[in-house]
Amino acid sequence: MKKIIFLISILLFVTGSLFGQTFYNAEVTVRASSTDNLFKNSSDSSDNFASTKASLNLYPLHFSEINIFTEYTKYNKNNNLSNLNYGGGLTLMPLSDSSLFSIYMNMNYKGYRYKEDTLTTSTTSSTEFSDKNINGVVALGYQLNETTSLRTGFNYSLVGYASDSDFVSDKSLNEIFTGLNLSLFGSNAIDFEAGYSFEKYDYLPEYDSVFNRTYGIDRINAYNRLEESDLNSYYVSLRYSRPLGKKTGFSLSYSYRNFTESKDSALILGSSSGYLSPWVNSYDGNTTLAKFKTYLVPYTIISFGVGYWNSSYLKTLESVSILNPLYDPYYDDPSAEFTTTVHTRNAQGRNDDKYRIFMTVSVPIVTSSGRLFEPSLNIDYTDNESTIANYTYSDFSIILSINIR
Amino acid sequence: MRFKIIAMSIILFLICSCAIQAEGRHFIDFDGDGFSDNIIDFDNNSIPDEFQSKVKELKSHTRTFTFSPTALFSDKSKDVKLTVSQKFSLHQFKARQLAKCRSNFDSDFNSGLSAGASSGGGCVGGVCF
Repeated sequence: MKKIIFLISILLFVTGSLFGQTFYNAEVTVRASSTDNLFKNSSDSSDNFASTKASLNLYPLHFSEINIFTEYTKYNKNNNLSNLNYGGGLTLMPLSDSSLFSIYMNMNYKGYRYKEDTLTTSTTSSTEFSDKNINGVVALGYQLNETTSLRTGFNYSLVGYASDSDFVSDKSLNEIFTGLNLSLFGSNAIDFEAGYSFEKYDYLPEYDSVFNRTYGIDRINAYNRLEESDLNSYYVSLRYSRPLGKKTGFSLSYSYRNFTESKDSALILGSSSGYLSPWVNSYDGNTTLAKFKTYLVPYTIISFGVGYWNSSYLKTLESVSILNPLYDPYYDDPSAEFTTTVHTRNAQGRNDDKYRIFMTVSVPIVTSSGRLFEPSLNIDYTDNESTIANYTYSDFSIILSINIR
Repeated sequence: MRFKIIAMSIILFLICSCAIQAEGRHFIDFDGDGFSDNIIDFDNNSIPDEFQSKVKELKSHTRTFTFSPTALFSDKSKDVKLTVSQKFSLHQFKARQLAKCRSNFDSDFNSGLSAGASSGGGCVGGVCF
């Protein structure tokens, strides 16, 4: 199946080249990555992974675009994470160029199919399963004058839980947002955005007498005790940007997000599955980010910056395996030696302070036939201090990629 | 007193700052890179023409990826007949402030370099690609 998709992609890419691409375009990206902390925790699991992505854009009408893509990612050490990613999207912008209004409608679907593997007890727990992501945006903009624009919109996203378990729910979010972009005193740009999101999540109420067991409650009972609650939040974001000299640009942005209501004693089962969980980014807090972009080196785009994140996570605790005190090695099945239990009483709050510095260097090369080759190098260093020792870590990552379109 | 001096310095810096206008067009920065979105980039290689000693002369302008809407501001592209994909690219350019909204915090709050299911693409320090 993978080979067929790749063959079709290559065929379309070649055909597109021959027919001048007036109604469709093809794009290929090859990427090699290396990280010394794949799971972003104290395990310091290093890994290398590589991916190839082919995508095709079709333009049936001048205000519409259909996109289909496929991408295969191969992990070196964590082979069970290797996956085929595929999907498509539709974008509509049905307003004339002369209108002061602009409208943007987009719907995307992404599917993931992970490699079969016999590994069943790792933190990733990815044996054989598929996953799906759906995202939709409807946004409306209005140009007040030459330098001021307003925007508002609605965003929906559904991120599937990457597991073969049906117990943990997918993450679904509805969001409304509005924003303003204006330029002041020549070349000083201000961008402000605010939004409110509506979300549901499953949580486990704090320990009660019904499950008053020395070693907590077992995983299945814990799943059955899950209750649904709102996880609404609001955010504000402010960005200032301007040129610094002729060939360098600068931006400073600040974002703040706050859960308006969350269960203080709650924990979300499955959230600490880490790498593949949609709940990993469920936190509130603030971030400050300074970025620079420069064209000082001929034919080269260099971007670099530094950021600070302060994040407060929902209380989370995944199941833990402990020695079963009733285990009898002569009569019991070996799998019963350890019991998997869930503790709710000692769920800890997690608060992180994260610093990152990063740099991207790309050299876009345009051929005389209009084809673009863009090799890029990305370097990123992260230092994270957490109130939970497991999440205190550092990470150094490098990505090398080439994009052909 | 010190506060007033700082405030006045900032205001003077903003007023007297070198305004880089794109051939008379107003400064607009929707993507937050510090450069005007209207700077002409005829070959669409993401490097403004004025920063390149030589802009590649293209034999074909039919491809969307090498079609730059800002090039329509230049004399080079007057009376150019646009293809369907280029017309879409023009719509996209006009709606770029909507497409680049930061509503879901994917860029600013992303957990980072990841090819996992939770983020889908690679993001480095808030720069997603």
